[in-house]
Amino acid sequence: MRPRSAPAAAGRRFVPALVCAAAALLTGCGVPGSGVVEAGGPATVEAFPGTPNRLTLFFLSPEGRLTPVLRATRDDAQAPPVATAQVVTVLLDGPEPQESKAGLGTGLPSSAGPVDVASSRGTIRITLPFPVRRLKDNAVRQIVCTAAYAEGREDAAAIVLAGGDGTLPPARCGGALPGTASSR
Amino acid sequence: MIRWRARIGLRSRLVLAFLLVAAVSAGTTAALTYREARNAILEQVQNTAVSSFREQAATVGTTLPMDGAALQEVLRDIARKGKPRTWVVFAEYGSMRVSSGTSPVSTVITPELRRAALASPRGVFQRVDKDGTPWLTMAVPTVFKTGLSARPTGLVLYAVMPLATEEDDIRAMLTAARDGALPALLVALVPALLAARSVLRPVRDLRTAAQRIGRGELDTRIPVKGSDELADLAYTFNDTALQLERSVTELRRAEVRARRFASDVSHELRTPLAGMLAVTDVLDEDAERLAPDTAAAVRLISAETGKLAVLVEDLIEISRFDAKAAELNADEVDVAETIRRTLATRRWTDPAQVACELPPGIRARLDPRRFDVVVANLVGNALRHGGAPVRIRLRDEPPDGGRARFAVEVADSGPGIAPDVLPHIFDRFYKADAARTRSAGSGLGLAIVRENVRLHGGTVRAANGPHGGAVLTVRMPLATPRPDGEAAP
Repeated sequence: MRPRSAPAAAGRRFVPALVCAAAALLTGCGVPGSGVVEAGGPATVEAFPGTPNRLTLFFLSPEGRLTPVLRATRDDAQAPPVATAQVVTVLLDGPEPQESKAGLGTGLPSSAGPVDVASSRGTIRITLPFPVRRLKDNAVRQIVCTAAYAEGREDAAAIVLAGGDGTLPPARCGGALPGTASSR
Repeated sequence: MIRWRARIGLRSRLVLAFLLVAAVSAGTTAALTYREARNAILEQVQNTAVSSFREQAATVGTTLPMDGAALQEVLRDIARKGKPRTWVVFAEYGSMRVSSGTSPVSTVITPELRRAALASPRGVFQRVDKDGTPWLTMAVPTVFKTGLSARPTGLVLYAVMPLATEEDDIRAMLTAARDGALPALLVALVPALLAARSVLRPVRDLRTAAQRIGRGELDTRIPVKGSDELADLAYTFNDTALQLERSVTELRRAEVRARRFASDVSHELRTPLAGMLAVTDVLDEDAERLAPDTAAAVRLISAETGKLAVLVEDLIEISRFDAKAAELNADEVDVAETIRRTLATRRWTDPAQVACELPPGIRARLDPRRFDVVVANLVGNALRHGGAPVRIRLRDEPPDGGRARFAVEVADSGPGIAPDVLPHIFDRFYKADAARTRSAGSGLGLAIVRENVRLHGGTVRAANGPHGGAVLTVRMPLATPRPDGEAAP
């Protein structure tokens, strides 16, 4: 039986190779699932109303994400831009029914008090009629971003919030996509 | 049987090795090609779908927050324009869930995809296997232009597309790969068999040549073709055969020289012996008149000279056989008559000494002189070493190889032959009784019997009879072979 053991040993060596080839063929059959793959940038959509005649307010999605809403001001193109203090006041009034229906909410207390906005050397100081230290981060960002967009400075402006209990450190809005905007 | 199995073994091993190599290479090629082609198909579909989806999504104009009904219209529009196939499009904004289909929420879109789409404003896709059906799910977050930059709207569009067609294509590719590999294996069988043949044919030639060498055809050579290992082997074989042929030729020459020497010596002794015999005859006659001592010496010389003459005659006879110079002068004779004449010539006529059983009517073609020598030597040997009475039986023998035969059986009444001696009693100068180095015979009698019987195409066998005593049986064909025919027993 000695001569037969040599081919048998060779067979034993070849079997794994065959199994590997078969496995390579079989595991790849059909369409396999995949992980999440990034593919290109976002889609830039047209948002209404257009740029000059709108207020950009930031509310919170049900998951607490900062979500912009656009509100028309006037149809008159020559009307002067709405003052930042007024925009912040509108923000503090909370979402309108349609916005609430879409699941948007606010992290800010509703207050009828006056809002004061002072701008000096690139820093915008907003004095609010309620304490600011206990505000949540996304609530702070609601005001910061709303004010920055109202000023037309977007991410560039450093904004300081002041309330009855003191001031917060300067903050910027963030989250804009300059590359995307310039490419479109 | 073993040789046959080994040859099949080598062939099938070669073929198997070829097929294995073909299978592995075909399989590997097919697997790699298949994988690359599949990836290419999927990549193409994905890229088309994702970029088309992004383009479609970019045509959307919406208020923020959007109106559910209007959004649904937009989604249906996108779904219709889906490439390469219609999609089901879903939109998520805040708590709004709108789709182009019946269900506002997809069951295929995974939480990972949703999380990735919300985390960074980039298009993402994922292939999902849902209940055996592959789906391509895509997510494109939307951004809108602000004064200086762009900002995510919070609206994420999802599209879901079945990949069943692609899966069918890929499976078809797999089938094609399999259908291509099997004929490739069959095609590989052809070179495998050719290669096996090219290896096995020299091996077969070698085997045939070795067999011919074994049969004694020492001039057998193998044609050496090419310069591979098999050619080396053939070359070595030829070299070995040449050396063997040289050695055998040398041995044969030496043997011929030795035989010729023996023959020459015998012939040279013959003439002086003839003279000596004449002289001893005269001396024998005159011995009675000599002194007793001298007479005894003269008789001893006379007897020994006679023995020497017999020995020389036997030597000459056997050297003729060795030189293949022995001729068969065949004649048709009555065997019983020939035997009777032999006995009469030797004066073995006393029935108490030699008992005959010679049925008439057996006629054979044989050389009467040689047959006479055979019978005389057998009977003389039996009388000398066995003992009277010697029984001679002639009988018909069943034919062997289609030739009718007869047998002559010579049985003595002696003690028989020892079993260890039996195979040797036809050898030259073989003494059955080691103690008796001198005997009346030359020591060549039975050897000459064997050569003569062989010359007739017959056989001679020695055995012991059932009641003791040696039995030597000569079997010969009724018709002798052709003069130069086979002499082998």
